[in-house]
Amino acid sequence: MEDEEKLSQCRNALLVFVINNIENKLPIKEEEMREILGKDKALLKECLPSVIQTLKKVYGIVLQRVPDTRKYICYSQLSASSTAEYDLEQIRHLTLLFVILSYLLMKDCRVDEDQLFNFLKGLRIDIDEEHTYFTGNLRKLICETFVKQLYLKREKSDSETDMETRYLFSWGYRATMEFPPKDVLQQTAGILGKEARDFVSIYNKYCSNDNNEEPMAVD
Amino acid sequence: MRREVKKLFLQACMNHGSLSLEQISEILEPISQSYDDAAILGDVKNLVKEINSDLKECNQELKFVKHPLLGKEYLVFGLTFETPASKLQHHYREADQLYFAKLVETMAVQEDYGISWVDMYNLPNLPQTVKKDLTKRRVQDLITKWTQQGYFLEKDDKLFFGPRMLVEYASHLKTHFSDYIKDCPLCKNVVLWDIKCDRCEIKVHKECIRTFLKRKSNCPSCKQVWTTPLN
Repeated sequence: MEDEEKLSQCRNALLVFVINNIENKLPIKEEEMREILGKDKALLKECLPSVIQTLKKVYGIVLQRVPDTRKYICYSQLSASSTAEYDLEQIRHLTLLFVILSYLLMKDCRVDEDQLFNFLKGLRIDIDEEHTYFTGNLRKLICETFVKQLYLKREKSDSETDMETRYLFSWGYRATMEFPPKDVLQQTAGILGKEARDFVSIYNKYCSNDNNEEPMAVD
Repeated sequence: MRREVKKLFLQACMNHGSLSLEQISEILEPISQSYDDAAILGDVKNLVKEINSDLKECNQELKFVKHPLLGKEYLVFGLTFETPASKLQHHYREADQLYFAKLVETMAVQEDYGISWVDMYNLPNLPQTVKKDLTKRRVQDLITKWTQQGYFLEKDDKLFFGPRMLVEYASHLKTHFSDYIKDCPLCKNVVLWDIKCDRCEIKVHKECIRTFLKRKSNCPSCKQVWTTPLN
């Protein structure tokens, strides 16, 4: 009985720790979770499955290990019904992320950071100036915060011909979970007044498997 | 369907920290349309009750609290007790956490539990290392964030304890500032502003004394006739 009670306390402590860290979206390290449980590895192994289950059952939140790492991320398994469900800062961040992710998706490759920043400038989002809607330090938000949160991947270019260090942006692991690429394609196509099918190669990559469709031929 | 509605609403409560009744309607209307469940709009208390029964074993709850300064009701998502884990929000730097503690401490000892913007930037007793780490901009950002989460609220150019503070930090405030913050003798919950007995100066919740005076006419503490006007 005592053991059962101790186990339940540990599960709760771990659950509270995860819940407290959902908001900042930073990956939770396995090591940090172990620390909550007095660095007991076996205890973590015992508690984690039920914490994962409770998060899904009660909160609708998925706690998932990032492949090939000892880190976990949390995201909602449900689509929001409106932006009212988020606070103002979350709405600002998600909006900016949608703009960036849709651009990267339509380019369908890693994009040079200058190219991305020029695209944003075209939308009157200068990352080195205070923006009236997005506010704050946008360079830091895009190059550091979104990267740490695993929304974006920022890697050094491996090209040998480059004289200066160049950085390339692509989708991060969290982005693929929270923004299903086929939804982003459909929404972006909608904004452009087109059908998702009009973007043949991207459509074939992300959507054609859904309906057991034959991939469309690229002109 | 009901399960999804509960999860979405709970997530919204977690995102916001505290919600006014207007915000609750703004959130629930689209959810009720998505899940074709118009009944939830007129039955928020029951929805919250159902969510709380799921949350009970996780030491968390959604709680309606009326904020005396604004006279408005809020729904707050909070921990029902402090665990070591609750202190480990690693996205706040040590300087931020120390600033939060000093801010609460400074507010708790004020007569009106409020602090002006000027005082917020110049909190006394902040270690030099913390001062160095906290720019004016950072202080502004932190206050905005904590206000959005319901820990503080702004009124008449001053900052006061917000609805979430009343729920999550009530016992902390009582324990650490017992000379300044006490329970209402009637409901045994923290009373901050509300109303004082003219004679013994004990504070009570307006709602509590209103109900009490329907049956009796004396102060629940000094037992003398209650003379403070309720409005």
